Amino acid sequence: MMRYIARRLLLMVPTLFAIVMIIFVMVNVAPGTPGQALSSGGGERADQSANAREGYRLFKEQYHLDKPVLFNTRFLISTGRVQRELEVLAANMSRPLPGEDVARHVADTVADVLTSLVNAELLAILAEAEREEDEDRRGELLASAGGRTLVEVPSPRAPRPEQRLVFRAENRVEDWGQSIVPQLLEIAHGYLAWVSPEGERRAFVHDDRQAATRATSTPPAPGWRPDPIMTERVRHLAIQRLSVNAQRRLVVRDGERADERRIALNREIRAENQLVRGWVWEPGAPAATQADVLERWDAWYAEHSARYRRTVGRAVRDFFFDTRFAHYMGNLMPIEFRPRLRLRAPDLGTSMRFRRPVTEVIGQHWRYSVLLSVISLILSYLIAVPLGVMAAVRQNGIVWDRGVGILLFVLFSLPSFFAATVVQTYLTAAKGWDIFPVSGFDSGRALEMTTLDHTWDVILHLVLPVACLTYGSLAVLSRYARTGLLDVIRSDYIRTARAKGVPEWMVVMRHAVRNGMIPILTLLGSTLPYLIGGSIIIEYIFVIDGMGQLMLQSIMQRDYNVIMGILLLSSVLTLIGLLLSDISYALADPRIDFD
Amino acid sequence: MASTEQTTWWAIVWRQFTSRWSNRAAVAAIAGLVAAAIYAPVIASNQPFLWVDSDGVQLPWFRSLLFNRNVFDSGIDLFFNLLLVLSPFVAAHGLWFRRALSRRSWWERDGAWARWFVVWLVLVVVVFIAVMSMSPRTALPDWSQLEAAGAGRAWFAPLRVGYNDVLYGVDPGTHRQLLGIDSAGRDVFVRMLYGTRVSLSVGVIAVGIYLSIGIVLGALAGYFGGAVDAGILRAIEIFLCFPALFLILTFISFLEQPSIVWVMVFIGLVGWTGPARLVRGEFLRLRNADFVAAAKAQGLTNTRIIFRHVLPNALGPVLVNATFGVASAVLVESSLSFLGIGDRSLPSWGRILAVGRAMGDDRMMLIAGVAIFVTVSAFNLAGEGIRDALDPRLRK
Repeated sequence: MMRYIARRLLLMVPTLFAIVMIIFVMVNVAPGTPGQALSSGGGERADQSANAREGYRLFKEQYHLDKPVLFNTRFLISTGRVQRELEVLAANMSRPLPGEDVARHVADTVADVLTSLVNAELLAILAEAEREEDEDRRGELLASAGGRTLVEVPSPRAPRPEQRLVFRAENRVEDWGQSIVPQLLEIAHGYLAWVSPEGERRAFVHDDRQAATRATSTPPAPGWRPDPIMTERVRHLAIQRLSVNAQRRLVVRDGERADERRIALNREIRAENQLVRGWVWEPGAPAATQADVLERWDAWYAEHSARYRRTVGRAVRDFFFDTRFAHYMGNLMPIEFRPRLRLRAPDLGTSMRFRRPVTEVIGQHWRYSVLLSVISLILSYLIAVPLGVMAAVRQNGIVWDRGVGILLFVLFSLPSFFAATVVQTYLTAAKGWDIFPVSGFDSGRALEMTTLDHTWDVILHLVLPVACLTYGSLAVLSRYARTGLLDVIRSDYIRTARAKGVPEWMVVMRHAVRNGMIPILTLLGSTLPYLIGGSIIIEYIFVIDGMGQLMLQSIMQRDYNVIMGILLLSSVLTLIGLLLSDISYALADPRIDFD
Repeated sequence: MASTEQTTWWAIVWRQFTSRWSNRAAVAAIAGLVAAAIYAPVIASNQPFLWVDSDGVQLPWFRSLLFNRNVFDSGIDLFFNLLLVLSPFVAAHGLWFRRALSRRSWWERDGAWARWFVVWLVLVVVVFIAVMSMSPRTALPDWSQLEAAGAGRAWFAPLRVGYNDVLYGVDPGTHRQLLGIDSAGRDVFVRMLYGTRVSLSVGVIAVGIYLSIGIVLGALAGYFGGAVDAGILRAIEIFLCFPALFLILTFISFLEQPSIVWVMVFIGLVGWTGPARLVRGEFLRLRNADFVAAAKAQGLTNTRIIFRHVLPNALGPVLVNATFGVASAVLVESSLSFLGIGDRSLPSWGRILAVGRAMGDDRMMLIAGVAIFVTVSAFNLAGEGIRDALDPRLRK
């Protein structure tokens, strides 16, 4: 038996790993931007300020949302790839940088203003819909906008890239972070854009890092001339990006307690981040200033180039372990390797909404759900088992078997959210008889009440939710009890008991029920996951702040870590439940042997 | 030679099934729901059956069914409209087929209805895909207004509104509203009627998805055993641990455009473990049977043995599972729409219940809840009936 349990527990490890991986990938690959609703900057928006953007970057970095989900191939990113993304961003700039051709932009600006005037009505509707809280009303607003799309007034400039592409480019160079530092430095040094007489563009990155080479380089074809505006923009973007991407992730999270060594390391990283943040030039800065900044970067890079050296070992490590999943899994492991090998509690991460550990957040909510489920579970066994026994004793009887069977079947088919809505409408002050409170776990006045009053208050609040949770499972349970008893009651030892003159009620209660209830008891194990996940809709209707409500709220706000935590918790409970029901089966029936 | 009246196993099960009044009631209820879903446009449509003006006669209603996606946009509606258009032909062909079959001997009749069904199903699906991809969007006049202006004469369905028509400020006299309007100004009765289509199609298609996954995997595991079995069992164990409702909830609300198709797909993806285990068990039982050995001795391929010889004998428990599955898929869909997750423009009973609750409109709330209840209990009842009919111990 022990060997069987040990084997099952060992098998749980790969199963759990697969579950975590599948759920994690599905949650992370699902569309939508992580943390959009939660980060202070409001996520990715074209019009947000630099501060907000930096806040969003730090937010992503802290939760590892800047990493790829399952495999990291960023060691393959070439300079050309970075260059293309920067060019998209440069082409999107509408306002001229100081020192650029102003006349060329006047036409652009006029076109922009005209565009916003032409689309004023549609833009107003969209803005109002954005602000609207009520979902149905928002749907109506959007419907009133119909299938209309924004009309773009053409301007003489090169066509602006699609907004989608701009967002993507911005997020990409941001998320690539440390892995593109050498490429950015190369671009800042040697980027040069050319334009042909027909307006065709082509750009190169010279890799010898000499400003002089750039100045004297030959055009790709006769007649091509350099495009100083594009060149300056891309180089400026590169140096700006570099000053952000070269900053390292802090090793100590805000509000986290750490040992001396890590605090010292953190201080060092902070100081270096502070330093590199300042190594940029203003747009249109003279060549001497630019050369000065680049010189500092070169010195810094020569000192730290070991960090960016590409080796096979590092590539393999990054590929598997520098990903969102690896970081998540690493925190989840109940083993710590550094500074020394020891066991610890699994870390489910931090809730982005509450800014507190997920375990703490779940700890605040689980008791409501568990209380509800446990009461309803006990009640349903207390009601269903006697009903099932009676149905078996009076097999094919009109009242106990047929009548109760039909009643339970009706209850089984009655959707609990419908029943909950109906009783909430007619048995509370909302409408009809004022017997029970409408919603909540208590009246919220625990401090003014005596303990007894408060208990009574809670009981009153729980009657309707518990009733709605309970009635649906009665049919299944009593069916199990009935079948279990019927299987037993035909067996020989019961006949023997009857033959030796044991009274009928004694035969049933003492001899039959004990064996007949084994199947229904083993069912208990599989109800384990319902303790936290069984009452989503009931909690929603009666506004009880349990796990279901927490899950719904977290889904709405994309609080990834909490969602993952709850999904994982229910999976683990299911696994344990399966194990428990198998074990209890063997314990209750000695004939079953797993070994 | 005296004609020997042979009865197949399914015929026995069917006779057993229909011998109980509750099963007949369940079948009648399901048939009624299917009829309501198919013939909804006959009862409520904003397109007139017939339009007569000086230019001649038009048939806007018929054209709207399949040939104008401005009237029926969603695939569900197009599918049921297609059934509506084809239903006379299917019925006529069915009658002819039955007469033709009655003159044949029983072994020619074996499986004939299954083939008939599959042929029609394939035809419907092919035409459906063609309609989905080719149906144009044509601008439409407001026929009621045109008629009021005296431009012509129109013959409408009993209720002349579509399920997304906003009726704010419309004189209730011209539009009969049996159950009033909801908070967005749409006719509740018409939405309930078209909601039948949503519920039934979610139930059937979601179950269809997970049946096809589950049957194939279960058959492979049970038939081949060994490493295949171990691998598939592992996958089953993993999927069994997924908290189904939580997962569906998460993904549907993450989608940017939560179409009802995704609800079907996700219910299908998390539900396949049940039928897979059942089919696996049946295959384990049957794979050493004599008829399988006979088939192997004939040199038939594994595919043929699995799908033509063993599977038909393993379908009983799956059928029970599927019938209960439809009920629970309907329940999941209405729970999701009750929580406000998913496509809000589709008429869904759960959504109507939630809106009725929010508006304090008891009639609306009760009618939606009763509709869900009736559908769920009809399928549950049918499932119980099939289970009892399949059980040889209960056979009379």
